[in-house]
Amino acid sequence: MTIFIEPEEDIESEDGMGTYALVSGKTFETKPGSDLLKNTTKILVRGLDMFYGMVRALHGIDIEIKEKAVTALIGPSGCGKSTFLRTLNRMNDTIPGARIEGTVNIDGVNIYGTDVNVAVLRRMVGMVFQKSNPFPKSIFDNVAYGPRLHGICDKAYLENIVEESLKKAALWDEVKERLHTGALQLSGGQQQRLCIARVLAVNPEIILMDEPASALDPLSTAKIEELIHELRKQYTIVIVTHNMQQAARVSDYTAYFYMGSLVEFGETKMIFTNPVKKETEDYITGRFG
Amino acid sequence: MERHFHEAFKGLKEKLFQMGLLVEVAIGKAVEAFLTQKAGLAEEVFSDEKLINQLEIEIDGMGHALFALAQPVAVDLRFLTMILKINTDLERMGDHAVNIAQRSRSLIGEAPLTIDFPISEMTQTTLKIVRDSLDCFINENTELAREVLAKDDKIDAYNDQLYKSMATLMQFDPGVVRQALHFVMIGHNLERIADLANNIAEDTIYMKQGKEVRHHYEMTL
Repeated sequence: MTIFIEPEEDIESEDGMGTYALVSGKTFETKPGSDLLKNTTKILVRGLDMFYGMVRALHGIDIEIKEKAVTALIGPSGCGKSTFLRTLNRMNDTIPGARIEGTVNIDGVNIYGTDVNVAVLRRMVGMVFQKSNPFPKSIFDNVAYGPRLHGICDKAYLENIVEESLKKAALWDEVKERLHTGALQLSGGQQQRLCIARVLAVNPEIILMDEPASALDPLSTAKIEELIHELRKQYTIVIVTHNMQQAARVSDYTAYFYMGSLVEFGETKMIFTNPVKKETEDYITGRFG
Repeated sequence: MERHFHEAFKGLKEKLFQMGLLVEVAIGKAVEAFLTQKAGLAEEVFSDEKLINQLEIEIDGMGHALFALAQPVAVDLRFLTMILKINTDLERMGDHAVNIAQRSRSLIGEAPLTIDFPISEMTQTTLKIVRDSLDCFINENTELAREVLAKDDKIDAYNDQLYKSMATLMQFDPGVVRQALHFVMIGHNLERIADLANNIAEDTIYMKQGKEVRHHYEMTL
């Protein structure tokens, strides 16, 4: 398990990806079977307010994102879904004037703590965007980019990482004969899966997806959805989608946001068959929004 | 490309098949309980009914969830819609089995009435129709479904014959009216079970081919 706090000293790790130790000013190794690993809540958000300057974009969000499950964030445009998603890996830090109050804990650690290494956080919490953004490099170099940045130079090891990541992203069979051709020559759906492979190559634990299929045709969308269904066995996934039917198809949990507030959160099956709040029912039935 | 929710569809089909097997067994036990006056068998039918009802609720719940989560269209939509209809029909068959078992309870201790009618044959034919109708849906076999539909009149004919036989018996021996009426009602129960099995065969054809054959609709075109 990786954590993103600066260790007091560099720790050599078996996978070469920097398996750091858990902190409270000290370091120690986490092993499978530890109490932390038994915790089924991966991300715990309490009292989260998010501001863009003086404008409050999120209001008192309390939510528990479950480990190795898919959580969908739905709601009308401008309701704060993507803003909330970006708080989970501090991408909002890049926006001038953006600040939060409240806590976002991943594996029990507040990611907004002053001693958090944001670069390491963003390795652990990967992100896939609406518009696929492969680098203008080869397919191989796209996937190998992250591991290389983390100091992996061994050719055989890199080839292994690239192959495994492309297989996990359900792209290997389509590109294995042309790994050194340009990524931009791939179709839209393939480029998006390449971006997912790129995230997987750095061994994340959480994958954030901001409308990953909205620019894709129905068949490519179906492939992405089936990929998400497979990936959830290994990763915690949070997905923003405008497509409620997609949220129903791919997610285990659904959170309905409206005007910066979390209206309702629950198992997807319950949200889409018998939601608690009328506002939720009005939204998902199309009576509102 | 198979979608992940198609696995859930298979699970639903398996549950429906389980329910169908329970119903088939319950019908056989119920008639045997009536003919042999074995109280224990009747009690088994009542227990079976609880399981059948529980399965009905589970299948309805799973089906509704799948409508919401999978948004099925075309053959998947027809499949889910028919599953829910067949679910109801199987539960109704279970109710008829219970009705027969209840009649057996009311005759315990009385001398069994010997009648000039092959009630066991009618029962076995009904059970075969039920089995075939389940098979045709589970295996999506429209040929078998049409064979089931072609036998539609067989149980009706048995029922007519039973009715006439009991009417004659009651005229000649008013002392057997009570028992004879039970036979008439059991004939009605078996006839209704066969009708419900026909529904399953019709639903299979609609599910697989999108063709409407209910109420001999094809013949009206």
